[in-house]
Amino acid sequence: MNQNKKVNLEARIMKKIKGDKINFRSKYIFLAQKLGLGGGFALSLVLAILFLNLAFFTMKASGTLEFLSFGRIGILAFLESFPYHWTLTGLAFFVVASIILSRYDISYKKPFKRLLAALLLLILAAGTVLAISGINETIEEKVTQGKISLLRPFYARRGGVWKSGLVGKVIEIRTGGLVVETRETKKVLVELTKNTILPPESDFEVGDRIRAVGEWDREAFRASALRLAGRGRRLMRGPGRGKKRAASPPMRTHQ
Amino acid sequence: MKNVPDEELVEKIRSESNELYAEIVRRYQQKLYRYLRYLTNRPDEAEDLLQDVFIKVYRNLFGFDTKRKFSSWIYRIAHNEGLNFLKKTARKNQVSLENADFSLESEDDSIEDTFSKKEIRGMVKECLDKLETKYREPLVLYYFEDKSYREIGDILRIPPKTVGTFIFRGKRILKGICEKKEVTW
Repeated sequence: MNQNKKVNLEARIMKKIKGDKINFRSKYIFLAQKLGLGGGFALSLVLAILFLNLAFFTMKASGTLEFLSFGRIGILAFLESFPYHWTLTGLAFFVVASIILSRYDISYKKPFKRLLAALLLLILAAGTVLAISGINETIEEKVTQGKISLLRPFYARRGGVWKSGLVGKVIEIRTGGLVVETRETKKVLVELTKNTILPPESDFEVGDRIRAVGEWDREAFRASALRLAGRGRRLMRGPGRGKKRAASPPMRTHQ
Repeated sequence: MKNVPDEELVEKIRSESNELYAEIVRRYQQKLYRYLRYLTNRPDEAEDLLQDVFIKVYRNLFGFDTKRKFSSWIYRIAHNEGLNFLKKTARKNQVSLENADFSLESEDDSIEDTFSKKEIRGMVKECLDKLETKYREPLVLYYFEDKSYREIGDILRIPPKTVGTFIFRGKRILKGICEKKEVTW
């Protein structure tokens, strides 16, 4: 660039500045941008944690993982009962947080992949801690009582019926099957056939919560496998080791 | 005003007088013009781009954090403008340096330095346009703009280690290109 061009450029720019053709952008715009970026990052991080917590809680409450204990035949029921919506929403907020993080200097000063891994780990850890803290159960209870209606969409009662799986309480024992009431108070006949896989030395009584995998046959559910289920309760129960219950005839499945 | 550091000068422009901005233009027009020309390989457009860069810098002066290095910030803006231009014209690797005027010497260069730099530039100018932008940029910033790895990292927003890798690989590729063209390295 020769000297004339240099002078020209300087003069052109200064003329525009003096003539008020170009002005400073307000410092408040930059402040707002900075705050917006920081706030956006914090918000997306918190939302990612909350939604993943909700996903973990839903899995825990509906026993999604327990379907895997059935082995291969439980995989379909596991996939159907998996809380995709909460997981994907949580991951979407993680992506938003990552995008915002990439605008900070730290994103290139430190290895970005490691930063993302640390962020994901933080979200997963915080989500897990929240899910096992018991706060969700408290909120769910309040929502059920109609106290926090705002959270109803997040903590509404989860159904216990899927295409290949079912969870419910035994309300009646019939020959060749159990009548089960699901969380949606729907009554379903769970048919037990000679091919139904049952835990060794199992028996079922009215009041038991059961988990079954199988397929629907019109209104009835034909179980391929069945187990006792419940929050914090063991899946299988041997004879004589269960707690005392109200008198009702047990259905022995180990003749 | 010549001895005032950039960051202090920016503070003065913001708080005292916007006319001091002329000093910023004086300090950076040669360097940025050279950088933009290398980046875009288009001397004519580089001038217009340079004006856009100075206008953008002025408008966003309150967005600059005076605790950081001003030169990295202004080069970053020039880099973005250059890349936007390349994207718009989509002629990243099709332009030639054949007609480029490489009058790169600045007032601060000694005669020996100027001669040596001129010699090196003369040798590589025919090959540099064949180099990918991601290698060309760090090489230009390091060898032609005398920037450190850290500064280049701040301008290109890549880790200093990656800058080192790009410069190393860039040199190797450039050497290959020059050898093919039978240019003495």
